[in-house]
Amino acid sequence: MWLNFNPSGDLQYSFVLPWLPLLGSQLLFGMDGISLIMVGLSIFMVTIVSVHAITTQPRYQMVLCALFLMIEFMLIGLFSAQDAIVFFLCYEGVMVPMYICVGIWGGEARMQAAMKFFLYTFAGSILMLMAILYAGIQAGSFSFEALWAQSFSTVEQQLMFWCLLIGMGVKTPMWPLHTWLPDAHTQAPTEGSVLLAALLLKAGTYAMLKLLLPLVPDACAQNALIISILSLIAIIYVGILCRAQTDMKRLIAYASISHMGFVTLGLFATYFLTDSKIVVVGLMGSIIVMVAHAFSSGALFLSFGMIYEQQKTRHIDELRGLYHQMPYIGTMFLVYVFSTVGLPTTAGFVGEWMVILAALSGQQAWMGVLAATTMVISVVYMLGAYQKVFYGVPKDTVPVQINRVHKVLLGMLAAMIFILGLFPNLMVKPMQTSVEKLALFSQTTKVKR
Amino acid sequence: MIMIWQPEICILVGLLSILLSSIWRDDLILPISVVSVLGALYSLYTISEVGLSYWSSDMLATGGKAIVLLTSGLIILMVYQYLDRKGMSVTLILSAILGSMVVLSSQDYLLLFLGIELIAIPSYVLCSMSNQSDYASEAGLKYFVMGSLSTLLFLYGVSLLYMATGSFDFAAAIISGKEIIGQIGATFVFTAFVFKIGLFPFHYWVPDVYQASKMSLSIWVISVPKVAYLLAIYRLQSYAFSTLAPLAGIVGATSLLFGVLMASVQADFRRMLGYASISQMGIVFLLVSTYDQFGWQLALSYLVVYVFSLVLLWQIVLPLDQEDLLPIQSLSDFAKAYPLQAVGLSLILISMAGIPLTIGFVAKVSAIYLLVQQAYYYSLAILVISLPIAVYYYLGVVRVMLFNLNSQIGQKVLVNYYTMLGVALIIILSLYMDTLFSFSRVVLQGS
Repeated sequence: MWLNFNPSGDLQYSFVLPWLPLLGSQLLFGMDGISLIMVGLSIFMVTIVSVHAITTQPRYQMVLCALFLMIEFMLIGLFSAQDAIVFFLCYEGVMVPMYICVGIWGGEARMQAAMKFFLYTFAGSILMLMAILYAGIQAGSFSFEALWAQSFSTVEQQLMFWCLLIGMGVKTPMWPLHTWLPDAHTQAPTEGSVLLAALLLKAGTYAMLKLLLPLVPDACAQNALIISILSLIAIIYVGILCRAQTDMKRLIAYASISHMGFVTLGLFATYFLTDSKIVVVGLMGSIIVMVAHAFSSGALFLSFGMIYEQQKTRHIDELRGLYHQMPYIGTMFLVYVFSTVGLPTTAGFVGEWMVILAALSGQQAWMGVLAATTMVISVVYMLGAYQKVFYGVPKDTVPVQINRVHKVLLGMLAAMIFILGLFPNLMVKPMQTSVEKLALFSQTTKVKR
Repeated sequence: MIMIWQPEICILVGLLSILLSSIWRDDLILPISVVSVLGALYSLYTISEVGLSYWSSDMLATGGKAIVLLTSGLIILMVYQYLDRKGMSVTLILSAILGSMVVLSSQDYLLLFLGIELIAIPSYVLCSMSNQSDYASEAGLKYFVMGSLSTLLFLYGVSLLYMATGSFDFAAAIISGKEIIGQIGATFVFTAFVFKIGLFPFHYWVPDVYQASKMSLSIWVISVPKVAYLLAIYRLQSYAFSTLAPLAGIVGATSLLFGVLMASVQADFRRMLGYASISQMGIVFLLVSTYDQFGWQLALSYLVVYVFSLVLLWQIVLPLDQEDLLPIQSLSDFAKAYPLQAVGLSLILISMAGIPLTIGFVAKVSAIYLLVQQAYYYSLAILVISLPIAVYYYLGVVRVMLFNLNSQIGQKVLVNYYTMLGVALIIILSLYMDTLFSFSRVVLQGS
């Protein structure tokens, strides 16, 4: 599919089925460049997770793998849906298998964590559903094209903006709405954490990209400053919070929030730009941060999950000198940490650099400066934690055998990080025209007069 | 002429033959009831409209009867093996079916009263009939006392309507906005319906009947009459209830809020479902309160989806009917014993909560669609508050059942392929909900 893809910005592989003609909604799927990247990402990550689940042999293994396939099904639907109702169906539907996954295979406090996760996202998504329905009723159709072309008055746009933003912000998660994420991550099983960090969080930002920016561009422009400041709080304040974490999974979870702040910053900083080329750079940077973060944080959770299987503790203070016991994981972990902190030649660098570039060249250049400081903060917390866990006097010097399949999985993730870091064009090319089209819609004012 | 009563006659003949035959032998009960229900369904198919002022056999009556007969037939098949006094129970259910058919067809207040009582009196008996439980008697008595009160309200309202218009005929007894006595009468009649459907503030019987009555008997009482009463309200909407839309909205909104709040604090599974049903009917009434054809169409579809899910759910927990009460925590043992059933039950609860890939989701989305379209922002605000609470208690049950599967699980599988087929339909039908919407439109508008 990747090879056949024609990067012209049109929908491809599309098909339509009537579903609810009464409501004007149909099962409409299709792929543009951005969908292609996200669908590819979903398939890759779910495959890795499923292989991991098969080799570790958890309880009710078949059910777990079935849930992963259901998540994959929903995510492919989500990323290729071209109809807002179908999009919402997948957006909410992906939470159910995740809820069950956390609830059955999770840690000690899994029940509360799963419930908190589900209720937060559900409550947000009802507001989102109302805004989508309102827009669709005004436009007469729920297809993305029709929604993007519809114009709304300023008040309508503001109301819809906040409804949509709460729904998407909970899932992303943005700073004040993030509190479910650390709990869900800590309690989820390894595979659940990987999927949650790598794919489910992306649903929120993908929704912003497809349904928030092009739908209500004027409200976005008006609120861009607020959202950018919230994003900066997420990047910097949550980054500082990471330093205080003693639980490794919690640390990676907070780091995820911090990086998703980069994505939202990239999306909303484009409203301070005048040059349309830089707008494309900003949006594209956001997407690349999404993908890079999927690989790096997913990989961090996966490799830490393997460590947890051996050591049975998540406490950073109780782990030391692991490099002597598991040098392979130690090396790979370092690669993922490098990608997370945004070291050049890794995938993490490209996207963050593009976002910072876009933020710097706008009217509010101080944002770019502040965002750039996180590079330092993330180095402090990530490498600090790495040092504590992997270096120092080992508790036990007997090397631990790692499953060969697991080594391959970790190697594949590391390879992807380097490939995307060295050849970002692989991603930029196919989505170039799609992003340009999105940029056009999201920057054109459409206030109804 | 007599042809238009053929469905009713089928049921009546079946009812009487069961009453007689069950004195001697038990094994004829099921065949007779199935044949009479099927016969009634067939004669619905051939029925034609005859102009009678007190009796209508239009699409509303025919379609409503089809829903009632199909659901009731399924219920009789499902619960038959769990019934103790089979002849008596089936006779009662059949006479209540007859009552719903009268309610659906009547064009006259006295005939409507007859139909309502024909549903109510067997229902009282069904709810209090139990061998062991004292709670069942309590629930039945409560239902009876409250039901008598609502009958009183109904009669009082009808007499006021008669006073204002001088007729018992629906069409002749149209009241305009100014006649205050007629208004009061219509409000009383409406209140009686609110009681029968079990909405706040006349809901007192609902949780008790859910919790304490024998499940195999109460399953009919809590599901089918709702359809009949809703369609009766629709028939009266253009006559007596033409000004009562705000009342329907208030009743719907308060029921929704009250239902979810009370359901979220219940410890007993069936009592929780009782309060949850108050909230679900609240959503139906929010849709009704738009007084829009489209709104009615969605309301009927929502109700049919809900009744379908409820009947399926009841069917799955029927084997648990041994004890008096059913705490939510005890469902954990149920899930360990019957894992497949627990998964089915979870799916139904997920559908009731309105979570995607189920028919409940489509019903919920269409409900919100209508309220957004009609700009009912207060109703929407209440939905925003109450839907997450509803998810909390529905998924709370799923949590208790599935998330404790640590220890060994049993392999006991109560194979009931029909139930599992129904559970599968909950997912499959979500793709074909448009058929249901069209069906509702045909029932309500005749084309």
